[in-house]
Amino acid sequence: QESTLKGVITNVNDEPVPYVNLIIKGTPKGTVSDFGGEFQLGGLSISDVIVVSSIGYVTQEIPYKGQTNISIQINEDAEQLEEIVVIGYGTQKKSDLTGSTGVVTSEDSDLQPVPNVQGMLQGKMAGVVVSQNSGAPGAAPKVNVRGFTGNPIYVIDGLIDGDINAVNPNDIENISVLKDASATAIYGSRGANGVIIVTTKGGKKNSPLKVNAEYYHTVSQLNNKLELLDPVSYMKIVNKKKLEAGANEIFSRLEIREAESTPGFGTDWQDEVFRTAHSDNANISLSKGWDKTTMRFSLGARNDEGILRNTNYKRYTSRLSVSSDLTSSTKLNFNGSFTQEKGMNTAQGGQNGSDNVVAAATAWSPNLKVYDETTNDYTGFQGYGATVLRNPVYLSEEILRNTNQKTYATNLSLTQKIIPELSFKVFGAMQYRDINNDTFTRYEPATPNSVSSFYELTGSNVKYQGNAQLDFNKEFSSDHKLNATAVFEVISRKNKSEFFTTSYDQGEDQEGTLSEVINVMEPEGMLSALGRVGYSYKDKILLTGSVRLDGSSRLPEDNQWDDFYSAAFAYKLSNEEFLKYSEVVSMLKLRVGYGEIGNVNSLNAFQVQDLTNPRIGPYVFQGTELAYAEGIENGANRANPELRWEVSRQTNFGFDLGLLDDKIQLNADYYNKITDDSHFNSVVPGYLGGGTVKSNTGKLQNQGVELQLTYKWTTGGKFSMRNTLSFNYNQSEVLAIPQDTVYVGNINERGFERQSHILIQGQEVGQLYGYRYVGVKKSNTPVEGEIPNLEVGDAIYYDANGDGTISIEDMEVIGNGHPDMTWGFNSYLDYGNWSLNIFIQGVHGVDVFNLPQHGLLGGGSGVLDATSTEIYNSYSFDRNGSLPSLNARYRAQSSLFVEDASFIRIKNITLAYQVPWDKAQLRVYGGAQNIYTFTNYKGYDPESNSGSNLAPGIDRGSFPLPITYTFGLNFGI
Amino acid sequence: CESILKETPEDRSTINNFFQSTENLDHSLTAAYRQLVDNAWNRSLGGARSRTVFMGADDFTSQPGGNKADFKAGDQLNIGSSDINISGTGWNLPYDVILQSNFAIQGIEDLIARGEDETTVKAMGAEAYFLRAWSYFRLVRLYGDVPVVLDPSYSQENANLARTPVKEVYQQILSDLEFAIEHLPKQQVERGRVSYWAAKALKADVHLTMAGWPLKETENYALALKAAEDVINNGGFSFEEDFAPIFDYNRQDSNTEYIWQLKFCNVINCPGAGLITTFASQTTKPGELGGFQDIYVEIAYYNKFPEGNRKDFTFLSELKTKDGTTIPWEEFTWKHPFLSKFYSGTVNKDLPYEDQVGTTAPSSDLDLPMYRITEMMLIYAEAQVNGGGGEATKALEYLNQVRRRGKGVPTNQTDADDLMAFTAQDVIDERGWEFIGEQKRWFDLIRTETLENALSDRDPSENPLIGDPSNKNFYLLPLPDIDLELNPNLTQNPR
Repeated sequence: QESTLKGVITNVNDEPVPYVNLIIKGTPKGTVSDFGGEFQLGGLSISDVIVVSSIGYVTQEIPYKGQTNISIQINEDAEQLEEIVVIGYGTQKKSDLTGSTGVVTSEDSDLQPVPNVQGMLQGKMAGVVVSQNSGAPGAAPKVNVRGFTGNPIYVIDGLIDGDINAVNPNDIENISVLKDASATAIYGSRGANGVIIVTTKGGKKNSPLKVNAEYYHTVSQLNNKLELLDPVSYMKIVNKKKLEAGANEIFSRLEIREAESTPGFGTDWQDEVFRTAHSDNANISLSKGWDKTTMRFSLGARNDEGILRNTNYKRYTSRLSVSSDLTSSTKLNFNGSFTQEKGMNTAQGGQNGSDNVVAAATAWSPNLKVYDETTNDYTGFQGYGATVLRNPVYLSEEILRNTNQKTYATNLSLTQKIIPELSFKVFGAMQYRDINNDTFTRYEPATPNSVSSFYELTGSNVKYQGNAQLDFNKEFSSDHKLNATAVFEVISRKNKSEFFTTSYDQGEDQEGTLSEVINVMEPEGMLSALGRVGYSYKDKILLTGSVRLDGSSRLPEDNQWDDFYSAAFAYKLSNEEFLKYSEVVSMLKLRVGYGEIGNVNSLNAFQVQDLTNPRIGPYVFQGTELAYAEGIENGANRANPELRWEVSRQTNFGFDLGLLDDKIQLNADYYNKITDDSHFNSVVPGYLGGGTVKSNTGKLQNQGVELQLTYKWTTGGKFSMRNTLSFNYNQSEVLAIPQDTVYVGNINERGFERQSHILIQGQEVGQLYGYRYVGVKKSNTPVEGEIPNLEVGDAIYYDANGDGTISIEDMEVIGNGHPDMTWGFNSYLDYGNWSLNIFIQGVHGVDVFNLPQHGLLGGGSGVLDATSTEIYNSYSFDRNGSLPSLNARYRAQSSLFVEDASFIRIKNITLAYQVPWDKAQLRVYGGAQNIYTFTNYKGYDPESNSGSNLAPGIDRGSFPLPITYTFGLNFGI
Repeated sequence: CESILKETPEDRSTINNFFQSTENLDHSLTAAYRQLVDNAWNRSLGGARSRTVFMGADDFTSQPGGNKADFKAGDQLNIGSSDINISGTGWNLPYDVILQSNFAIQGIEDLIARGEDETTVKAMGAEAYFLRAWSYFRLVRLYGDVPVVLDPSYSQENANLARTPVKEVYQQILSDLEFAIEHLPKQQVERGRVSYWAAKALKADVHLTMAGWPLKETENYALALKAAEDVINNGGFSFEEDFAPIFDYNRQDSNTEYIWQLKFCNVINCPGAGLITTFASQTTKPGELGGFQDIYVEIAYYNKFPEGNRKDFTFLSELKTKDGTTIPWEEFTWKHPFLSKFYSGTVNKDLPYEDQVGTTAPSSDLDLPMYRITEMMLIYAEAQVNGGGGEATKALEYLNQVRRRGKGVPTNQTDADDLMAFTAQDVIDERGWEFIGEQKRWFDLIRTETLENALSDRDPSENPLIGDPSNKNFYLLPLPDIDLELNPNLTQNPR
C-alpha cells in the first residue's frame, strides 16, 4: 500500500528551504521542495527510507513510518559552509570561484600566537609572501601578493583601505586574499597589488551566551649575539690604525696595561641594550544569538616589550558587532571598534642615522664605560671610535619616542530584499584616527652646549566610504545560474598633521622655546561605479566578468578617469560524467583569468601642482630673530602635471585538484602581470634643484608559479594530521625603461655614492648596485680591473669602464634584494586531546646590503674604528687576509657588504592540550617562535632589513627578530 | 559629487597663488638664504664639507686614512665625478640657492601686478638677484661652463639644457648684479641681508676674477678697482685696528669689517633652527679637544705664514694642559696645527684643553664673513698694480695696513717691515694669510694660475698629489655623474 507524505523543510532558524531533494532510497522516485520549503512525496511504503539532500546541508536518511505529515529540519553542513569564500562586494562558494583566491580562517592560526593580522597569513598561502622585517614590538610585517609590486590593500568589513594594524587578530573570522586580476579588478585601482578582505567575527543565531577568554605570556631573547672585539684588542687596533696612517697613537702603553689588568674593563654594549623581554596578551569575547539578532563583543589587551631596552608597544582593542533581521526581508549589520596603540621607541632600529641603537650597540667603543665618573654623565665621543653614532645606552634611555594612536572605525549596512532574486544594500563606513606622537631628546652626553628638545606631532586621519549596491541572483533551472552586482562608491579621506619642536637648555627646569608650527593637510577623493556578472552552466562551466570606472583626485583633471575590465573562466571537469564517479579524482577545476587594473596608490596628494614648501628651515638675519622661510618645493614632491594612471594587465592560469576524497589537494597557478606606465620617483637633476618627481616610467613584468599542496590523513581514531606546503617562485623583468636604466632607492644612504638600486631593461627588479670589490692589493703586479696609484693593502674595486679612476660609472649589479623562491611548511598533528603545530619557512636567492658590517670593520664616514673580530682578516694583520688594510677605503656601496641572506627558519612549534572537562572548554598550550635559523648572513637576522619593493634588501641595523617562548591558556563556556 | 575629485590645498599655497604680499616675498627670500647654510653636516657653507672643493690649495689638508676620503681626494687634486659629498656642496648648493632665487624673482612681477609698491618690491627682489649672481659666480669658477637656469619650475626644456659658455655666464652674473645694485638699499636694517655695498663688493670680486684665468679680460681691473674704491670710500665700513676682534663672537653684529656675513644661530638661541656652523668649531678642532679634525693646516703653509698677532690667533699650534705643560702640534694625533680663527665662543686656547674636551661641539653659531672691507683694500691694491688705474701710494698703504695689523703693530704708523713697493704676488700672498678659511685661496690660485707654484714647497709628509697642478684641467671640478646621466646634453670637463 502506497501512501503520500506532505511536509515542510526548514533550517535551524525555522526558515523554509527550497530546492531540497527528497528521494526514496533505492528507487528513482523523488521530489523537490518548493519555494516555501513544502513538498509532497507519493508512492511511499512503510519501511522505505527517504534521503533528504541539498547542497550545503547534511544529507539525512529518514525511515518512513506511515505518517502523512512531517516537518524536517536540515542542518547546514559545516564543512561545506567553510567553503563559502568572501570575495569583493559579496560571497561565493569556493567551488564556484573563477579567480585565484586564498583563504585563511581563524582556526588555521589557532596554534600560532600571532600579534597581528598579517602574521596570520605568513607561510599559509601560495602567492602571499609575508616578511617580518623588524623585531620591534608592534612592528607590522610586510605583505606582498604575487611578486614584489607594492602593498596590497585591506578591506575590513567592507571598508576599503582600513587600518589593519588596529585590528586584533583574535577578532578575525576569516581572511580572503584576492590574488589575480580577475578577482581584484572589482576593486579597480585599489586592487593593483592584491586585495586582502578581512571579515571579523559575529554571533550565531539562536545560540546561548558564549564566553571565550584567552591569555598568553611570552618571553623573548636575542637570538644570536655578534662576536665583537674585547676592549683591549679594540684599543690596540685603534692605535695600529693611527700608526699606519702616520699619526700618533691614541692610547699610551700605560693606559693599555691598566686596561689589561682591570677586571671587567670596558662595556659589552650588546648586553647593555638587549634584554629578556616579557609580553602579555589577553582577550575576552562574549557572543549571543537570538531568533533574529546576533551580537558579539570583544576586548583585547596586549603589552609587548621589545628585546631592546625601553621599547614597548601596548594595544587595547574593543569591537562590537550586531546583526539583525529587522523584517523578513530587511537585514541590518553594524560593526564598531575602538583601538588604542601606544608605543615607546617602536621605530628603533633600521634608521639611516646616528640614532640607530642596534648599529651603535655593535660599533660603539667597547673600552668606554656607560657613564663617565668625572662628568657624571653618559660617555660621549672621544676623538676616536664612532662619531656617526652615539652612546647606545644614551640612545636607549634619553631619546624617547612616544606614539599614541586611537582608531575608531564603524560601519553600518542595510540590506533590503526587493524580490527573492534582487536585493539592495546601502553601506556606510567611517574610520577616524587620532595621532599624537612626541619625541623627547635629551642633550647629548659630554656636550655642554647641546640642548634638549621636544618634538610633538598631532594629526588626524579620517576616511568616509559610502556604497549603494544591487545584487541579483537567479537560478533559471538547475542548468543556468546567473548573478550580477552593481555598485556605486564614494570615498573621501583627509590626513592632517601639525608639528613643532621645543628646545630646552640643559637645565631641564628652564622654559622651552617654540619653533614654528607646521601644518600639513592631504586630501584624497575617489568616485567609482562597478559591475560584475557571473554565470554558471550545469555547475561545470563558470564565467565571470567585471568592469569598474574610477576617478581619482590624485591625478590631473584631464587624466582623472579610467575604466578597468576583467574576465574569467573556470571549467569543473570533476562534474563531467567521465570524472564524476572517479574514486581517485574528487575535484578538478581549470581556471583562466585576465584583468586590467589601474593604480594611483603610490601617489601622494599634490603631486600634479607645484606647491610651496613650508618646511624649509628658517634663517636669522639679525640677533636671534628667526625669519620664516617658504619657497618652492625642493624635495620629494616636485610637481608633474602630466601624471597618468599606472595600469597592470594580469593573466592567470590555474587548476585545483583534489584526490582521494580531497585527502590530497593541489592548487597551482601561473601568473603573468605586466605593469605599464609605472609610477617611479625620477630624480631631478641637481642643477634644477634636485629632489624627485613622480612620473609614469617604464614597464615591468612579474611572472611566477605558486603551488599549494595539502595532505590530510586520519586513522579514523584518535590521530589525524594536516600538512600544507606552499611554494612561490617569482621572476620580475624590466621590459622597458627610458635610456635603458633607472636608478632607484634612497640617495642619502650613509656612505653611499648614489642610489642603492638599479632597474635595467631586460633584468630583474631589485638589483643592488655598487662597486665590485675585487680584493686586497697584495703585490705590485696589477690585477685585472685595478686602477693606478694604489698602495699595497688598499682595496681594489673593479674599474669597469677602464678609465683609470673609480667613479659611479664603474658600479655594477652586485646582487638582488628580492628572493627567487619562498616556501612555508605547516603541519598540524592531533592525537586525542593533544595538538601540535610545526611551521617552517624558507627564503632563497636573496642578497642584502649589510650596512652595520661596514661600521664594524671601521669603514664608516667620519672617524670609526673596527669593533668586529673579523678585522683580523685585514691586510694590516694578515698579508693573505681578505680585507684591506685598516686605513684603506672601505666603500660602503660595494659587494664587500652584500651578503646572501637566504635562510630556512623553524618559525613555530606549539603543543596544545585540551583538558577533558565537561563543564567548559579549556586548552593550555606552550611553544616557541623563531626557534632556529639556518643562514650564512653575518648580521643579526637575514629577514630583518628594510627597503622598498623597488629597492629591497638594505639592513641599516634593523631590530632583530627574537626567539620567543609562549605559554597560554584558552577558556570557553 | 565631482568636487570630491578636486585637490584643494587648504593651508598650503601653489606657486601660482603664493605671492599675495611682500611678506610672502620675504619668506621666499629667506628660503634662498637658508640654502647657503642648510645641512651643517654636508653642504652648508658653515660646514667642513663645503671646503672639500678647495682642498687642492696649499692651505689645508686632511687625514690620509680612508674615512676622510672626500677631503683627501680634494687635497690630492683627485676629485672624481661621483663624490656626492663634493658635488653636493660644489654643485647642488649654489643651484639650490638659484632655484629659490628664481622663485623669489618670479614674485617680483606677481606682486607689482597685484599693485604692491614697485620700489619696495624691487628692493626686496634685488636680494634674490644678488644671491643668483653669487651662485653662478661660484659655479662658473668651480665648473667652468654651466647650465644657466632662470625659472623655477621643472620642465622638459630645463631637463635638457646644455652648458652655457663661461663668458655668457659672466654676462648673466653682471646683468643680475646690475639689477641688484640699482635696487638694493645702501643700508639694510638687518645685518645678514645683502645691501647695495655687498653687491658692489661682489662686483669688484667678479671683475677681478674676469681679469684673470680663464677669460683674462684685463680691462676688468679698472672696473674691479672702481667698485672696491666705492665701497672703501662710501660704504661706511672701517678697517679694524686689531685682527682678533674681527672674529669675536660678541662683536659679530657690531664689527665694522663685515660687508656680508653668513648668519648662524644655534638651537639654544634659535630653537628649531639648527643653524650651526661646524666649520667654526667641531670640524676644525683636533681629536684631543673632541673635534672631528676634518681639516687642518698644511705644514709648509704654517711655516711660511708671517709671525705676529694674526698667526697666533689664526692657528692652534699647541695645547695647554692642566699641569702647566704644553703639547706641541707635532704631538697631536694628526701631527698638524689646526685653524683656530673661528673658535670664538667655543674654545679658549689659553685654558687647559682637558677642561674643554668636547665643549661646544657642533652647536657654534659664530657668523662667517663672506666679504670684509679688508678684501676691498686688497682688491684695490691688486687691480692697481695690474694696471687698473687708481693711486699707487694708496694701494701700497692699503697693503701695508693689512700687513701691520697681521704683525700686531699700529696700522696707521709706518713699520720697519713695510713694503716700499709691491707686486701682484705680494697681494695674493697677503690675501692668503689674511683670508685663510674664508674660501678665497683656491680661487686666487687658479685665477692667477699659480696653483703649481703654491704647491711646490708642499711638505713631503702630506698626502701625495695625484692630479697635476700644472694642468689647468685640474682647476675645474668634474660635473656630477648623476646630472650627466639625467641630461645627455651635458658634457664632462676634460682631465
